[in-house]
Amino acid sequence: MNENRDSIPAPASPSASAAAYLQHPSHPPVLSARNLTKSYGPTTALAGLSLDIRTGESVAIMGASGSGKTTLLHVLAGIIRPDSGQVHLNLPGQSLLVEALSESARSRLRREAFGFVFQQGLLIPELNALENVAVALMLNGTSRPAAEQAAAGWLQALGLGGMEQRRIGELSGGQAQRVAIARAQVTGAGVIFADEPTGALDSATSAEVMQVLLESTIGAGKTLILVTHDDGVAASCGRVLTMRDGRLTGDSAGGVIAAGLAQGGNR
Amino acid sequence: MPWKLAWLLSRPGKSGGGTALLPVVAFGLVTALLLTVLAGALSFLRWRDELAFLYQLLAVLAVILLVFPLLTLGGSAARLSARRSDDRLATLRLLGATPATVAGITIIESTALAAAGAVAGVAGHLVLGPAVQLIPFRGEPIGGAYWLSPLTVVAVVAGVVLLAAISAAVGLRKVVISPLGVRTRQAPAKMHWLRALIAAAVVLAGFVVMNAGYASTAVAVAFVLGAFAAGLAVLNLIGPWAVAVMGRRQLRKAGTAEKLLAVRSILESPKAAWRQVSGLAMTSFVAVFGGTGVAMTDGAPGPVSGPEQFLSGDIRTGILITIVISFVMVACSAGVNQAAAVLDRADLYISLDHLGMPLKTMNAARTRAVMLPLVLVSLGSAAVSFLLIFPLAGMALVLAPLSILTIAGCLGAGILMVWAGLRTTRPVLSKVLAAGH
Ligand SMILES: Nc1ncnc2c1ncn2[C@@H]1O[C@H](COP(=O)(O)OP(=O)(O)OP(=O)(O)O)[C@@H](O)[C@H]1O
Ligand SMILES: [Mg+2]
Repeated sequence: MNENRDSIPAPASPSASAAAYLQHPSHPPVLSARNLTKSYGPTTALAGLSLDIRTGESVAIMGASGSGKTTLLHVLAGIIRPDSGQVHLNLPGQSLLVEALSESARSRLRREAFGFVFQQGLLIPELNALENVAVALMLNGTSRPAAEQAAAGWLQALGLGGMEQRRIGELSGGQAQRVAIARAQVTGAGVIFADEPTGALDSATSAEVMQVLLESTIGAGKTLILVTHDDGVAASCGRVLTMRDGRLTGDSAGGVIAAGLAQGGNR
Repeated sequence: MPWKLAWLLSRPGKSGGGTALLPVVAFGLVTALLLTVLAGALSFLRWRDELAFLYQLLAVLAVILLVFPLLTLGGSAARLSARRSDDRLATLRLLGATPATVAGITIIESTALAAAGAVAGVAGHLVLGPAVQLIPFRGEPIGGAYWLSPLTVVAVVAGVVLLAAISAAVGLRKVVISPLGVRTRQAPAKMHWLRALIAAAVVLAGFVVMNAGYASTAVAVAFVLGAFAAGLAVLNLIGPWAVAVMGRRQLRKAGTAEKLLAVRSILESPKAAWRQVSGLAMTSFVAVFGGTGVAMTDGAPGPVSGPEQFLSGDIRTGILITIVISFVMVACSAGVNQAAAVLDRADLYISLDHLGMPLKTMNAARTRAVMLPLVLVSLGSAAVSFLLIFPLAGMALVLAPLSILTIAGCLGAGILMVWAGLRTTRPVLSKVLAAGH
């Protein structure tokens, strides 16, 4: 398990200069997908899709239901293997072909280099808020006291100070989603995937949660890849991709909010 | 309409045939064991002498001890079969089926699985026959006295099927009223320390009474039976509390993700954690209680001829059979409950897999959540029982260590059996995760 413990660095929030370096056009994109295809029986979920995503970008993926957004996210994150095509992951100091990794290596990649936010928090109901966040770090071998300390810091930063001991059932939908955002980032993951993170929230709460998500990710130089049905949410991202029938049909610069956040540099 | 839909739905779905097999196997085991225990107990009715009454009394005690865990296992199996159709039922509801239709389908389906299991159980009972017939009581094998009347067999099968139908209906109501989110919104149940205080008082009283002099044999028998009943009551009172206390202590110590998850899931409902292993607590209690008695009579020079010569050996045989059957049931019910829990929380497990939680960690946490209370409970209740009859048990340990060691060995083997039962649920989780890929 730990023969190459260092091969997947767990980047802390990169410094402003490091972020600038990684975003430079000459640096390889953090994720680079080529000719991805994926079918479920007769259904084609991905039909030869190619895509580059640079470090620090915030990318919104839009499209009708069933157009393949979740499938794309899962292939990029190494959750499922494509039928054909490649996903290259370029982290500082190393380059990986994601789908060539074994099941357990991809599992490790997901817990060390990536963060995930799902539509319904999907937090562990019998753990409290603090433990839910800390567990993500403990899986990487961090001791419980250190993990809980880091988790408390994240909860504080996301406006959940004082709620550490609450069980998930005792949190509102928006609060639970912020716990999920903390969990996704406590490991220092550089790439955050979010699949309709505000899909189950009302519009006011949704806006709050989105702001927290954007500030804590792209505001800190991380990469954010987000699936959404909401134009307002997409507008807060730097780049908007549209999908139809497993293909990209649009790739445009997004709203100004993200640009402002990214230039605003570190938290 | 429900019949036809139930038939359509019974075809293998996404969650596969494995989850239908589990409740069938569990119902089969329940029926086979129930019939076999009953057959053994009823075979004692063939004796008519004065010692027969004692044998029949002990048989009734054993049946009582075994019937409760059997019912618990039947209930878990019914819940599992009700649950496995949940995802398909949700689709049905979307298609406009009324709640009554959906309820009807679920009940029909679990009843059908129970009936299939019960029939298999009858076959199992018949297969077990020749082996069980060899077990000697009072110096002769059970033999032909083993066979039950067909009417009894039909009644048992009907009872098991009815139990399944009722459990499915009750379980369904729970699912309808409180989906997971509602249940977990409330804080976990607190276990009051008063339980421990009452229990300690009972144990103390029992200790004093047991060690007082006895005026006559009748009084002594009354005291022993009283202590036995008090002991079982104490176990049920103290069990959930002891599990909760152990959980809280372990919570502070839990240094890894799997330990934390296991302990938290125990603390989520100490009562449920206790219920899952309580059958074992009772057995382990009885084992020490009865085992000591047997060891004492073994150590002392007893009658070498006449009907009494077999008594202590027969009691030991009875205890060992009861222990083995209890463990089989606890192992099964742990497996069935865990399978149901995995299916219940399929979404959560899939999301944890996406986050990169290793399968190994999930399995370790699930196993630990059962094994921790199991070990606590079997050792704890053995200790309570040892304490209650301390002078005797202490002597037995010195005079007849082999009897006591046999029982200890059985307990150890049983714990391993439960662990094996949990292992059989690993494919259920792997399948659930594969569906998320
Ligand atoms: N595990 C699976 N088995 C079978 N078909 C699947 C599976 N996962 C996805 N599909 C199919 O692949 C296609 C793309 O699915 P995907 O989940 O990627 O869509 P989506 O764009 O995320 O939709 P939504 O907005 O509804 O979430 C759909 O037609 C879907 O039915
Ligand atoms: Mg989707």
